[in-house]
Amino acid sequence: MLKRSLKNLITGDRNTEPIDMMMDDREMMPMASSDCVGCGRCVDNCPTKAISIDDNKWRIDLGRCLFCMDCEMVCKNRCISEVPAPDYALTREELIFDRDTDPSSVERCFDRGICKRFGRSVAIRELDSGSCNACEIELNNMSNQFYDAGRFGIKVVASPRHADALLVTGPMCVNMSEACKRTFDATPEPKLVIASGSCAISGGMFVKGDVIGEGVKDSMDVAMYIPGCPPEPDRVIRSLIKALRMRH
Amino acid sequence: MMMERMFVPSDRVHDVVSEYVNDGYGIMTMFAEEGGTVNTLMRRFDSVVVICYDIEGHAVPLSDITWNASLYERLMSEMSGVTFSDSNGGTIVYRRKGNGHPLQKEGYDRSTEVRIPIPKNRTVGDDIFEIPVGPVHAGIIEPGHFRFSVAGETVIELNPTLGFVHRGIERLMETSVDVDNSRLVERISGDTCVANCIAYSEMMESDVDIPMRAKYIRTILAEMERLYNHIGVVTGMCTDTAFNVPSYAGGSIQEKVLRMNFGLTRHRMLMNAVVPGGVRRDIPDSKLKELDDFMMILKFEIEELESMMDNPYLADRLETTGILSEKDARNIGASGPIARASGIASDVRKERPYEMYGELGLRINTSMKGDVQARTEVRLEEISDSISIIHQCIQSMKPGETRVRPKVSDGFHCSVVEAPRGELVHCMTVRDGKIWRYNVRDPSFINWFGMCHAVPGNVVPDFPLINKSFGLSYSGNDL
Repeated sequence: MLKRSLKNLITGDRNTEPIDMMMDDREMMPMASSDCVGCGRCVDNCPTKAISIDDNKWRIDLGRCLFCMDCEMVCKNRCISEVPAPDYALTREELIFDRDTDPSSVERCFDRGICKRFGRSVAIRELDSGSCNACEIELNNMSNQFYDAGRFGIKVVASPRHADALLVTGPMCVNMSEACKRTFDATPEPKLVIASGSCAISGGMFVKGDVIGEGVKDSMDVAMYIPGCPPEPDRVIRSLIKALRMRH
Repeated sequence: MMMERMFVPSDRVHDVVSEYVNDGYGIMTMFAEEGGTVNTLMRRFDSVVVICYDIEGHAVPLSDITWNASLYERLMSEMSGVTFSDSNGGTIVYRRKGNGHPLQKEGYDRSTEVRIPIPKNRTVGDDIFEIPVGPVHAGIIEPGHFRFSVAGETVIELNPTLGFVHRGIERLMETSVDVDNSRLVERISGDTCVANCIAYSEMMESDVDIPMRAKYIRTILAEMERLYNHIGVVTGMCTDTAFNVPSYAGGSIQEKVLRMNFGLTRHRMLMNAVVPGGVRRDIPDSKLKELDDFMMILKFEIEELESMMDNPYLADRLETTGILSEKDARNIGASGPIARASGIASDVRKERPYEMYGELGLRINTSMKGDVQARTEVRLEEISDSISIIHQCIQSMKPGETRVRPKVSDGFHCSVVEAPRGELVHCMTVRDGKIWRYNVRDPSFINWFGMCHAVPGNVVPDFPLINKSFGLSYSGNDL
């Protein structure tokens, strides 16, 4: 063990991803091209009804999308393809895209004032409001050797009282609502609420189940949305760095 | 798989069930259907019986035959509103809910929350303190509430309160059989999505034979899932004992497996891969070659991790901590690695083979000790078994179809799958092409009680360690 540690120290043989590589990486999302005739097969097959066609206008709600690419498989004209997706959005409306638009344009930063308050580091308290554990595993992976969120100043803290931001996952179950409210109240101002994952943004698969409203936004003021089911660790890190203008 | 239900009059149920229990059958799950039918599923090796009766007045309590029946009875009375004439009921299964019973088709009002106060522990006395923990924990884990009664450092009693992540999945499943619910089933528990989806798909394709290649791919994916779950738990043991070098090494091995998963199915947690009727995408041979090479590397890395964990300080924390005796494990009906670590040689993959497991060589790894160390060892052995199974699958795979149209007929269906956490049971009743009742029993539901038996007698700082060694799911339990 010691031998290997020393060897890695000397040769610089590390698993950690270079920062540039991680910042340039993008997840993919479905997008229809101008060949779309509006047959509606993708609408019928979408498990969360993320796609809608009104007056031949194809539209996707990234807040509901599970990124399963079922729509790509069922499209007869092969007009749905994968395009680079935005990592985050600051409002819910920005996550809805029309056909043939450039999705990466929605990544705005917070106001200078907010960015200045948080400075170069952000302490996150993860709050599970009823997720399926996939989001939790991915957030745990955020601090492994490959992503190493600590080097960017992102750390996960144990108590809401130490936190700058609440990262909420899950569709806000009826049973968790009280605990979530208390955790929110326990977090000192100024605080950010980040809705991470389709469940937290729109209720996802569970919107008709025993949950409150459509996602976390009906219970708390959400400042930032990170789509994905679950959002990959690098996506969460990138979103925080970009939105808060953290130095990297 | 389609099952014939054995209907018995309600006054004979008690005798029939006790006969089966004496023959060595164990209860897999019990659930009530709307309209007052109670189903009891029992299994011994590969034979499964479904004993079914209509409720007349009160339901028949079976908890005097096997202890674990009381858990299901408690669940039925809370979720479906079934009343028992004489049930002691576990105090542990317990859910906060809306007004009414969540599984009733009508009359459940989820907007008005009925909160039954969480009961105090029964252990009281001078110098005994009660520590409440949760539901929002310090780490990145799911919500659950625990109450410890401690005398000094030693835990005397532990009662968990679960049900915080109840999302009403069983009710959401009640759709037409033509609707593909596999996306929902995968999200029962995000780290058991392949096992859940295989269980669902096996029922949905009861009238068709699925292609061989699809079966092989499913087997590979199920083993990949087992790999990253088990590596996660083994790594967790090192993290919880603050043994950082193997903890980070294990973390990077897990990340490599997750990245391999992405290469195979375009999803790191293997979601969206299995569908009723086969698999969504074929895995090209080039990827399989890559997977085979990766398995060789993984084998070395796991060996290295094992050698790092061969450490007296770690052994001091793990050995004789959190012992679940074989007697307790049998009474509870524990399953999966937890049962195997307590000396019960039970594995659905071997006893009731599904997919390709019948034709592959696999062992049942057991240990007699039943402590945290035993559970870690069993998992480490299962990791090397999974590597061997994946290798065998890749060797014997042939090109072919991977997806057919699923078909299901009316009746009672049931499937049993060995998930990474243990025996996973899905059942459903189909009436006129609609799912009338869908029931899921996650292995965690039973194993939670195993943990409650294992913790008392240990010190409080060992609780996270014991909890992690059981590796239980909150969302699978709460549904």
